[in-house]
Amino acid sequence: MKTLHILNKSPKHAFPASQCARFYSQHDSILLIEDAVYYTLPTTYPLFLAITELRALPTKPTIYALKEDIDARGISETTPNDVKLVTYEGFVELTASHDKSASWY
Amino acid sequence: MTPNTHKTLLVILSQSPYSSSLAREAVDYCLAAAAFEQNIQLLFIGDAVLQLLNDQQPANISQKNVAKTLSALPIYGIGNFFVDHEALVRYGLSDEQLCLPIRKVTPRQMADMLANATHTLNF
Amino acid sequence: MNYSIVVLGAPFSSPSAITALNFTQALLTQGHTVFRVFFYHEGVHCANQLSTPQQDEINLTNQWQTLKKQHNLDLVVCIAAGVKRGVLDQSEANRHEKPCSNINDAFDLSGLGQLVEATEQSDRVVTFGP
Repeated sequence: MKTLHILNKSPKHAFPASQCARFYSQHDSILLIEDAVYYTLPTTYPLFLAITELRALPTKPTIYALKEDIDARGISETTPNDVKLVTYEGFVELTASHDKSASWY
Repeated sequence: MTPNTHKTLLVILSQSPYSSSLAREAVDYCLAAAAFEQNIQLLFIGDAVLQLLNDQQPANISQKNVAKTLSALPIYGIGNFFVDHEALVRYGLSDEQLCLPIRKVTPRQMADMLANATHTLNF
Repeated sequence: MNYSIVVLGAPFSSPSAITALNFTQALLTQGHTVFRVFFYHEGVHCANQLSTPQQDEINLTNQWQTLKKQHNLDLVVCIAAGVKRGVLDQSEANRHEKPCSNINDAFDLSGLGQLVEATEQSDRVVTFGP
């Protein structure tokens, strides 16, 4: 069953991101909301990738970020290409298309 | 509500015992779930392994003993306790320091527990 | 699909109370149903009708009340977590001999069994962390 891992804490908190990596199963996805969207900055995104690839995952999770939270924080120009932006509508669709969600904070 | 054995609820605890009331409120939730005969698994990760230390004496910081409450969970029919082995190692905790009989799990096993659960609640 | 929402963050100390409200609005717009919104931990402060933000700030309590009116939502505040933080209905105020109650009447104080039932009855449970 597929899990949507929801992260809401800024990159100063390494623990939540590291947990979503350790609990990752194939076909899971990761959604960045609230201050976790700061992981999409050019300097913090490599850190995020390092944390989430710890276990040499067989498949990379798809990473989503909440557009409203990105726009609000003035960082919409620097979203990495492999991060997909979703609005609240997309957030809802992700929770419906995954069997469950886990919120790491 | 009728007991449902098809659904498994995974409760993931990650908070230290006295940083906020969340550790205690998570245990309160587990007690309620037990009262309604829910099929729950408790998994301690990160700082939550510190809840398991059996020598806590928090009276002088005006807190109630979290380990004491946790120790009572088996009386209420909760028996599925799991702990992130790496978190135990991180804090150098050994089995005899822990207040519950608990099964150590690897990240792979934790990922499987999450994948197989119907819902998860993170506290 | 039938959802339940768990709110653990308080207004003004965490964005989670606003995120949860926006998410719930989006859910309902897309035709999903909400079995219950459960306010636990610091999230209980969302129900305090005495909360009086400045006029250019969001009033979360009123927003939840409006959403409830539109969609007949079940908004439940954990009674133990609420009462200890000073979120009381009239009956709890009387019981604890407090001078007033303060819960917005869109919200109900009830036990944790309501959260247990919500996880049992819902297709999806989404937690908004503190």
